Amino acid sequence: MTDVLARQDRALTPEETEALLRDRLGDQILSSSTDFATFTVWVAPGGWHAAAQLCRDESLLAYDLFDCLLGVDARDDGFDVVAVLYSTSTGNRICLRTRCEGGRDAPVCPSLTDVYRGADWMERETYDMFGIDFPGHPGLEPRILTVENFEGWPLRKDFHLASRVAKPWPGVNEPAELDDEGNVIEREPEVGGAPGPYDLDKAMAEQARAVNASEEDQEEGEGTGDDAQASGSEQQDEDEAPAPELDQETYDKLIAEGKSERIARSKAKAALIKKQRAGGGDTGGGGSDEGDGGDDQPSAAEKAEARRKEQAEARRKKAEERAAETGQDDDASDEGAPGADDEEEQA
Amino acid sequence: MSDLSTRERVHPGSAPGEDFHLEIVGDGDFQTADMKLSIGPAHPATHGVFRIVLEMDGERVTGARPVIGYMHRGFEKLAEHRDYRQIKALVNRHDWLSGFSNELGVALAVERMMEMEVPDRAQWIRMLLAEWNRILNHLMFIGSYAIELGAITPMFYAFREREDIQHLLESATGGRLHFTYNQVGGLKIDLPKGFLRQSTELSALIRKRVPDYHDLVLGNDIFQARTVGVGPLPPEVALSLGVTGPTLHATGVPEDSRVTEPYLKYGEIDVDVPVGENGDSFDRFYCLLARISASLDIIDQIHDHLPAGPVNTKLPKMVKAPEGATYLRTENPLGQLGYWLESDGGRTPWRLKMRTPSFSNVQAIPYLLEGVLVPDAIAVLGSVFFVVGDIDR
Amino acid sequence: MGVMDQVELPKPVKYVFNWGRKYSLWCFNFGLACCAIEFIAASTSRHDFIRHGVIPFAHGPRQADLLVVSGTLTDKMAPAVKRLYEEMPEPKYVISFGSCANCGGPYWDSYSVTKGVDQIIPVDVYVPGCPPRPEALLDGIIALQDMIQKESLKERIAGRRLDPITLGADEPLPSDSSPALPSGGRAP
Repeated sequence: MTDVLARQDRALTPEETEALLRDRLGDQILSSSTDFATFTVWVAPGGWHAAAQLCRDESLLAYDLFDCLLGVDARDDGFDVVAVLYSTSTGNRICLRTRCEGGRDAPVCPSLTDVYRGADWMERETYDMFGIDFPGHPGLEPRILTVENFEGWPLRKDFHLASRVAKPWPGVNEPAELDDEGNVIEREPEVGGAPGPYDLDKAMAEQARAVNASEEDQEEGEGTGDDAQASGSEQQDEDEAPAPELDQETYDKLIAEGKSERIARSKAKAALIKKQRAGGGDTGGGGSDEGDGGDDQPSAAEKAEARRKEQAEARRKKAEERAAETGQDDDASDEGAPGADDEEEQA
Repeated sequence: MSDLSTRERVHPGSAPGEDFHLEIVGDGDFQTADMKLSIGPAHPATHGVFRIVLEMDGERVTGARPVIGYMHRGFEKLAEHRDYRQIKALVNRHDWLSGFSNELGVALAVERMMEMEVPDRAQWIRMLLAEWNRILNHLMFIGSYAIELGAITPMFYAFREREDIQHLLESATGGRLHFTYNQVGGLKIDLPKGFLRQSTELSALIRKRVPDYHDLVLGNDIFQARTVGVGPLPPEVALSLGVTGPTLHATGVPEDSRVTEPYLKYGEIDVDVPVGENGDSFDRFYCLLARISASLDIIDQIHDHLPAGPVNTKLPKMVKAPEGATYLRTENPLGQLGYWLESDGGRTPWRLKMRTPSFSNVQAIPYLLEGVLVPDAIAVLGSVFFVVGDIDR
Repeated sequence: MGVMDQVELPKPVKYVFNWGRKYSLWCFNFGLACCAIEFIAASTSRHDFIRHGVIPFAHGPRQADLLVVSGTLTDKMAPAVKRLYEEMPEPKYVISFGSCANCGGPYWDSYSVTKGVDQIIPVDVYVPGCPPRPEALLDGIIALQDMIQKESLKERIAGRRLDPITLGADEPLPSDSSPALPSGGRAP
């Protein structure tokens, strides 16, 4: 060590630092690396406190700035704790890293609060996130960041986000759930009983799917709908002309009232469907059965299917009526506004 | 109200086991009671959802305990479920006053792990915008600290400048607060035409207006009476707590990673780090204000240096950091922002720890508040500049 | 409120009364996160919502008519927000400012974030954006003022509110193939 001690005028290199630590702490220092410009020293849990103490008090090292302390999930081996120290006099940085004793069930790591005051909150945070116990810490409870009655340790890898289990990723692809070939990794939902709103979302999604399915069936049967089917409908019944997509009368009226095109179109669509329901409601169901080519007796499954369709139909009707009602309400309230403005002008 | 427990009636969100009863001390006719005063989580003096429980003997604070976590949004967990592009959108939201500097750190950490060479022009532009962002942040605190001390006008001045700077940054990035302009390997897009001219003009304009703040706030008698000598912080305590940024500079330690561990191109220009002497509230505010001028100096140097060339590199189809871990820190407006990025070679980080300046700085508050009077407590609390999202993440 | 909650006011009186109410909204800013900065920006000289009759100097919830929840609401904070809302006197209005307050925003999958302030208190106007520009807040305030002008105070005090407004939901989407909202743009 004499050659190291002789060079007090400059900062120690990582190799010299490791040699110094090994000299003082012996086999408590396990290994070191300087990958990615980060000098990391692995310390045995027994030497954790002593290593930090040495780093602070040894005048050659003089790590006086406590930068941060964090936990890392180390899979089956339990958890790691990393302390990052910095020296304002030499400009060196060291990352001390240790593996907690006690595995995943009861991870324990000695506290550094008596060496660095800044370790206090950092250790509380690590306890809050990983459930690592720090003997010697003045008080890890109450939990520093999460809500007081929070259950689980959020940053452990076996803590799954309930929202992600209950609700699919809204984007195009799911970054965390795809493997290298781009295949979706199937993950069993491990958190049971997702909170209320998501159940609601799921129910709504199912309902929407049922409505869509019944609409598709109907379109196939009736031959109404999109342009593609309109061109193909010539081959089919001549008397059933391709119905227009929306009620032109309502559409024109709404446009004249100054509504936006999109609103007018959607309302006109609803109006048309309403008219069709009122005019020839019975053609829909009967037509589709014939279209299927029913020379066989309808089986039980088909019957169930038909019942399901009917139910979906009824549900959809109800939804549309409700939509139409609210639409009218909106109209009424919209009309109220210009009236009020008039009054304002008069006043 | 019926669904709130009695404890929550006393104080919303208080932790279990916390009692706000009066502790009787002394005996006989001299019995007095220490009072516990809970400020926050929604209180004008704490700018943000930050709560502090003061123990008081009369007007004097005998103990203080910050209660944090009201803005904990679980960033570190969410980052493990997002890839390196998507993290950017979250990372610039934790400290909402310095969005650009936040995303810069992540980009630099990933680039370091992927051993990526970033074009010179991109690095200079990153510095330029980071310095503008620093001024943007400091202006906000100049306004809010003055409000806490009872002066409402500086806020309006500060926001006049802020709007100008936001307008400038918006022309390049499209965002007012959250820029999302960095990307791994460079920048999203080059600066728009005329940006440099506007930047130069704005720099001159703000340089002309900085003396106004010296006159309006720093030179104000009331301001000085309320801050000089209030809440001094010794440098060794500050370092042991991990305090950085203007709060550390005020104690006389010129520790600034732009100087001591230069990243980007900070090594090629002169960076002035203003320091204080006593580490009191006045010095903290002085450092904040002086850093605006220092940043303007840097901006002017960048204008002279900015080279031509590309601003981004060709990226692989999927950005994946190789297996390993790195720790990188940058000088955020409020102090040093460190990222511990650990990757298992996948598309998402295995662990992304954010060491935020506010978290460490706020730890100093119990030390600072001990023994001060209640009105001074507000002056001290405001002078340890923090953003609540930066504490809780 | 005296007789206001007992009888329906005559139309002219109601008009003048609502006109007065809508231009003196004492506003309590519940600044939680990034959006609070944009709220402050909206209150300062460049955008200046005081010209719309919104006064951002309410000393506390008990003096406020309007609560602007700007920012991410966490589970830890939720009881305090509910309590502050309950401290406000009727009639009271809530603007949910920003995506986080609307629905959780970018923190939709977080373990500690309440997915929308409307899970704990009723909201009158939703202002989308992350964060919304100050102009969007001005827009939201004007929408709220329209709502106040239309409503009946008696109904309001009895707890019957008009449907909440979502800003921007009336605008046509860029792609015409996207499905239209059934109720003409207003959120259900």
